[in-house]
Amino acid sequence: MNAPARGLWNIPQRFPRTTLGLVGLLTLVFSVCAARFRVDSAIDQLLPTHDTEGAFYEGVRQAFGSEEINVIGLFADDVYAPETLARIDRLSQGLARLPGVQEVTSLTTLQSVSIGDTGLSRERLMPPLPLSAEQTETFRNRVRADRMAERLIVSPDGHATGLWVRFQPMPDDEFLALGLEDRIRALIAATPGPEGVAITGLPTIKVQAARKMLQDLTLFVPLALLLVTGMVVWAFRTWRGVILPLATVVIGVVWTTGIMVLAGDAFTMGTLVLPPLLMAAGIAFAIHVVSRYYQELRDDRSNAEAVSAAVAHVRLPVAMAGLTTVIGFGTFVWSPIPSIRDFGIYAALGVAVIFSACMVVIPAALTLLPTPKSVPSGLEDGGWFADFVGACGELSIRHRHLMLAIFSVLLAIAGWGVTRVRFETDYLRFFAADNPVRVENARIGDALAGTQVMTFVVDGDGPESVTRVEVLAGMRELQRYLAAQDGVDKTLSLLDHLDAVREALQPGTAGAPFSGQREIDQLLLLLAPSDVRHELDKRHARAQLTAHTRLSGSREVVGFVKRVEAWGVAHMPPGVRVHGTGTVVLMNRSADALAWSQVTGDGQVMLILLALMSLLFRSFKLGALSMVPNVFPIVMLLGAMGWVGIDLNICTSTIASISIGIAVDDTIHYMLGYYGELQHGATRQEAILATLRSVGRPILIISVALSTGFLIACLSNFEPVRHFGVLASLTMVVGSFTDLFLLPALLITLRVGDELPRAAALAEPTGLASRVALADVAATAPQPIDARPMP
Amino acid sequence: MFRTLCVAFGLALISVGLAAAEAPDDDARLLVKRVIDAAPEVPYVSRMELTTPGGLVREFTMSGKHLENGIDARYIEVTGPMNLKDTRYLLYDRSERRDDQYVYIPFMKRVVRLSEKTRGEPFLGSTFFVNDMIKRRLDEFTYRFVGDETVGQRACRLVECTPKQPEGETYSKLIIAIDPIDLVVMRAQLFDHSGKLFKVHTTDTLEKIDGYWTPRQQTMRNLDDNDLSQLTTVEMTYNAPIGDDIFREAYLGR
Repeated sequence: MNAPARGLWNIPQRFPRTTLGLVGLLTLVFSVCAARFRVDSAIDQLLPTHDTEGAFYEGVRQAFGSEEINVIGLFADDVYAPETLARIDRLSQGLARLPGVQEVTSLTTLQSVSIGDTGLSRERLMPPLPLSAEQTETFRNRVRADRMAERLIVSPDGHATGLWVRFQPMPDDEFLALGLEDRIRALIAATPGPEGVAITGLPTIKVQAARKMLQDLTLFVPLALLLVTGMVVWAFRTWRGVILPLATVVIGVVWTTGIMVLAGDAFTMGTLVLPPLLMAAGIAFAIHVVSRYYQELRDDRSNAEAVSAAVAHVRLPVAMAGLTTVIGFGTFVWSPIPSIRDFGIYAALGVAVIFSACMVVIPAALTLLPTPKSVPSGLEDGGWFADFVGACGELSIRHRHLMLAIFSVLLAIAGWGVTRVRFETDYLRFFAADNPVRVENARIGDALAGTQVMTFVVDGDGPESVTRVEVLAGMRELQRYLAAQDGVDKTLSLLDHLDAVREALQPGTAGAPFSGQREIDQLLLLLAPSDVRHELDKRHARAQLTAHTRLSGSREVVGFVKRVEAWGVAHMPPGVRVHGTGTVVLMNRSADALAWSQVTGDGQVMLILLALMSLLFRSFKLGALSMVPNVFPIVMLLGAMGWVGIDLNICTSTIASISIGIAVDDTIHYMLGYYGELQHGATRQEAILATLRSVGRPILIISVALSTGFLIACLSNFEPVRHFGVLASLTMVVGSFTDLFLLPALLITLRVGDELPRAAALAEPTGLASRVALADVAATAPQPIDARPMP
Repeated sequence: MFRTLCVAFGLALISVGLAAAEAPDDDARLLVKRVIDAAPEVPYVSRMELTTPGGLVREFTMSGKHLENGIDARYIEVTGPMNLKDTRYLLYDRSERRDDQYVYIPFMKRVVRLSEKTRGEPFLGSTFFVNDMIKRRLDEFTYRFVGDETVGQRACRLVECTPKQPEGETYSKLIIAIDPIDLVVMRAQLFDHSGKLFKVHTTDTLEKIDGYWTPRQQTMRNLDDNDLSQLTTVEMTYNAPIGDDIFREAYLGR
């Protein structure tokens, strides 16, 4: 056995045991960390950080409290029935006793300002239970007269009621640790009744989302592992051919997850697809390395020589492939959305780890293993797979004009489809239509008020500015304007509280203009600050109007907010500004802009890759040509989205960058192989066919692995992740078709290869041209049997 | 007879007691009683300023007198800002019957009786509650020493006061820091009904006026909301010549 050549790349072969021991130790450490992974379903993960809108919202949240509210809907023929009221009362008391619950507002805890025997007071509206028929009727009428209760607490027909549970501000981890979601549901179960029950609200949606994400992860990881196992079994059918590539992707996933945990990050909606994506994308590197190793063994080389030669041959294309993939993922590192930013960071990190593992673990392990008696049969003669891809190439070359015409037509159709693509993010539709989260949300929204709550902040020019008589007059008009908009079910503001006190003192005055500033200021004295803490800040410099809407989707929401803000500019007194905010507004306001910026970011990725490819092939023309098979699938992707009606949102807009970063790997291998063949005197046609027969197999295996890997995401509980899966998979398939049918036609038609003298220098050191010899030998050699076939 | 317990704030603190040479008594209840006994029983008139958590300033005058019928009465008249001017409050603390409170609303020219529950609500939008502005009865609480602490550079004894009937009380428990030498309350920690500390009252500056220790500045911190209000005694006149008529409901709407 010859000693491995000295150099950085050969360290694993020179010190294989130390290398494997070190990697094993680190993997053990990271696996301990990785076992403590968390799932974070916080909405904040989908909101941009460090932007003015986010800072504004944070200020509003501090002034008026958080939106951590759950609504429990109870549905009955008559919610005023004695048994139902008793159940609501028991539930209200039980909910109020739960840790972390700040307040519970329900039909039985509802308070109202009135003048009674004891004077002006805010008392519970409902008399002590049980109620007589007369008391029930009186109670019903009093609730109906309460403007603030209408549609929020009780539906107009009396068939539904809402229990509003406001939680103390707490981190999501604490909310989950307290098990509040389960405790609420257990409390409901322990308070049985014939009424139907539904729960909605940000806290419950977050918990349900976290559970579904965990479910997804539990499903994705073993499925992805199964898939890549199947792929390497199919590719190599040897122990080392299966175990070593699997080890590299497992190392990649374990290290990435471990580092994620050490950094304090959790799996989010954005990083959910990370394990299967890393496995599918990472296995490609390993397949190339092991495939090359087996090919090098064909030349009667020793095991050590084969390992060294394989590393020398694949390190450039695999490194380039890794680099382009990292660039694709790297574009997300600058995303203002934490979830997407984390995806970019950890995907790039994971790819780098898997690439390193391929260059370190595989050579070290192969060095320690004895020389195999034969190479896998599929790699010897190419088998039916090589015949198939070769036939595809021949078809493409023979009918190149037809091929170019077909692809041109497809491009035109797709291009037309691109013009139909819409930017739209609908966060509720992240869940399937039959998912309980959406079903219960819709049920409550239909019976009571819409659950898409938007906040409009009225900012004055200093202390006591928003309680000025002219500003309150403007706010009243604004509230009326809001209430008149399509999709708005309910509005609330400080005026409702002032009207309630005024009505108690002077019946019949609610809704009328205020007589002057003295009236307002003195009415405010009669309001407890706690009563209006969600509507008026302490300095009276800022007020908040809330609109409960059925508006859904970013276009509808953003359009509505812009209309209201424009109304504010036109109608509010000078110095007073109306600005929409809240989780719903913020998420939708930023979604489309971010999706658009992502699409423009795709252009930047393409430019970077074009520069890289031009540098690699030392020719701008070749660089540009090599981009064609990668740009075409992206146009097809966007076109398909336009024609099918899948919207571009913050999830689907990431597919292009990811796909192009991965798909360009195939082109690198393809083009380097092609030039290797030309270097050894092959004609263009021969070079194409030989390249397809040699690198076509790993390229197609990897494409199938990636397509299938992305398809795993179709099993997700979340619609955008499913869309991501099917579209990314489709893009990979189209990319493969482009490599098989478009690229050969282009290479022949454009006579690519005339610049061989310059490009050949590139292919020479990689030794890719030796595949020609391999292919020639394979065509004549008998098929040996692998000494250790898979069972 | 222990008519009232001067708990911590407002007038209660304004009426802190005469200086005493020493208070070596280990009995917590007795120490509180001595604080109450040291409080002035004389009529007074004070001018005060109250800042709300939002930085708004409310000016008012407050008069207090122990009426012959056994009622401790407080009359408060808002003097600023202009839009709140002439808003008036009348608070009765009766030893035998239910306490009463009234407010005169100038824009309506109407006197409105306030429910007892409003005593547990903020006074003029501050972190002080109406309840913090009135006296409490000694026998409504049980007492025990819970430690010693230096508060405001004074060595204080800490007394825990627990209401005998917590229902209807604003606080479930109070821990007051009493300077046993001067018999003044330097700090009161107020607990809500879940047993959580949610407000802290401190006497920031004290001044002896007419022989009575009088708080010049007090702070009430609401720990739940991280808010604070300050109550400043701008002027204080003890033994003020005030008749009983200003403490009648009819006077509010004069």
